[in-house]
Amino acid sequence: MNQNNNILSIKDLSVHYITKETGICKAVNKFSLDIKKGEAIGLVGETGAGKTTVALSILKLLQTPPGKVVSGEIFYKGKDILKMNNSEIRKIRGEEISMIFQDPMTALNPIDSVGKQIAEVIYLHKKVSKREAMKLAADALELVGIPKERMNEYPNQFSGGMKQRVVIATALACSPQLLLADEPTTALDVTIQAQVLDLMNELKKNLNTSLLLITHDLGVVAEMCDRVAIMYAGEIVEIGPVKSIFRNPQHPYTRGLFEALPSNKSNSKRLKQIDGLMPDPTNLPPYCKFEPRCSKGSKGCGAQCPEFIEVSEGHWVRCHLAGEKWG
Amino acid sequence: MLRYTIKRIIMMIPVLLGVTIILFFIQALTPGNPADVALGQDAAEADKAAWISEHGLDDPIVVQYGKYMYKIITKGDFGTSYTNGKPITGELISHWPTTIKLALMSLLMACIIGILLGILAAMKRNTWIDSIARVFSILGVSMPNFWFAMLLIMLFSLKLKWLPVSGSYGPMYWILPIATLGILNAAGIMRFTRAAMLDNSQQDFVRTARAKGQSERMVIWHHILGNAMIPITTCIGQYLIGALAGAIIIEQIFSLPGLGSLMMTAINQRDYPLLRGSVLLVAVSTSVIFLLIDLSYAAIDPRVKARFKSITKSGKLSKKQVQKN
Repeated sequence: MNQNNNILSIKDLSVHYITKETGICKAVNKFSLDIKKGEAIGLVGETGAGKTTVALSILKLLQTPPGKVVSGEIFYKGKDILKMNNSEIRKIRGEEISMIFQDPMTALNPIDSVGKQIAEVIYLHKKVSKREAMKLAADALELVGIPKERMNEYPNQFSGGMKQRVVIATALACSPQLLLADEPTTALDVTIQAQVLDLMNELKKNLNTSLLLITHDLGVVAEMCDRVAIMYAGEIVEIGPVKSIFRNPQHPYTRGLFEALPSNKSNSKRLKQIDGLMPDPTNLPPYCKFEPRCSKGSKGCGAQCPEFIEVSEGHWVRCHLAGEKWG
Repeated sequence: MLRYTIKRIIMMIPVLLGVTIILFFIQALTPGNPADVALGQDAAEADKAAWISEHGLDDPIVVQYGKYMYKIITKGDFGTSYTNGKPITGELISHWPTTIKLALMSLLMACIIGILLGILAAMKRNTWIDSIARVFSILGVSMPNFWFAMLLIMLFSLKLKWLPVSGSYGPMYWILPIATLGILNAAGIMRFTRAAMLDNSQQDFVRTARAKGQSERMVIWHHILGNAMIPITTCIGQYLIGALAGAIIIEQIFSLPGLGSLMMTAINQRDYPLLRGSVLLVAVSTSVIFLLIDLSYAAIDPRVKARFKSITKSGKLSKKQVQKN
């Protein structure tokens, strides 16, 4: 992989949440990921897999304590974000890397008008007056399909979908190089989901923004992304081009995810599920994290941690059994 | 907003009527004859009876009440004091500013100390600063104000001789009374501020603000404190009422000529008109304070403002508001 092409490069990131009550919760373990310029990567995994923690680490927004980056490096344009001081990271936040948060209902400050909240990020990063920032904020609102007459209204006067659009408008206001979208559509109903995705797709094309899309909706990934990374218990278990993974999933967990999708073809009344639960992050097994739930596991799986194996070009999987043909 | 304010002011009238009625009934149930106090125990029964009928106290209580209210409504006359024969209105006007001054000044002090310390404690959570602030808050909340006043007098007046013990002869005489109430109320306001700051600093919109690249100072002062001010305002309102009541007690200790000393005199002398007047004034002040708190909510929280507007427009919550709530 060409280093210069990467806008963001995460190397061996480990994040722990340390509390007196539960001990050390290993949320992210040896996580590595490269994002190229203009590329859209989907980060998929179940609740608690560490997806949001990764995104927050990129912006140094982890709440510390209890969160702590134990090891690793996050290179943004060749500089390690984790080593930056507060004023350096503040210049990047919102301007170069911005984030769309999970829950639009709580992501907006209830006491500021939406226009002011969008203008805030513009005023912080662009050398403009407050009045000009408000004008640019009005444009940003129009861009996401909200009439600018509503910019002096407060979040409580907006519906959930519109709030999410305000959040998106805020995130895109400074035309960031990299957008971290943390489940941008989870809180929305399906019709608004489609609108929001269309909107993000359009903006991505127009601004050539890189995208890290965190979701547990494989349909959204198929729609939006070039590559997809499947995350389980704080580590990537499979990563590759969307087509390759959707056609030929290799890791038993990825297969389980696809099998759990409702299908038009099968006649079964119940959805398939992956038996068991994710391992307790305070007490992770030293071997393959998926071994306890894996239906294909062999004796070697309980002994050591699997390394990444490349099964086809750019398609890597962390499984001892990778590449074997299954029945 | 204006319509809401007017509506609230009109709604005060039944409350104050209620206060006058309760006062009259308590007066009727109170043992002791005001004539005994006014003329002395040894005065002739005939003189006492004459005094009673002169002041209209032999009328049925309902008639007394009717006459009292009639005078207030038609002439704005609250009657005259039994003890010195002066009009009540004048007495109240001369004593009320002392109490209000003490209450407001001490509250101002409490807000400044309480809010700043609360922010500091919340931002330095689980450090020694936080621990000290919490000990201060527990001490302040649990200490009776008159006892704290005594302690301050012992230290600053008797031991160090920096400040006068009591009286009202200049600014120096105000320091201890204001400090007594100010420091104690600061403890309560600090507790509230700390809790509200911690609560709001966990909110998602604070993370959003940081993600925008906002400075930590603005995150704390605008985003967190701005939202924390909503519960803090409630708390301040409660303390303002408390400060008014506290001022009445503290005035006694420091011999300040306020409503408190006026009320004590009225109670001891069975001076019913004076007592009624002072209690009524406290009731009016309290109602006005409640109104001011509710109005300041609208200034802080746009959601409340929207609700006020919809209340006054339709007389009740509009459909849109009901759905949202």
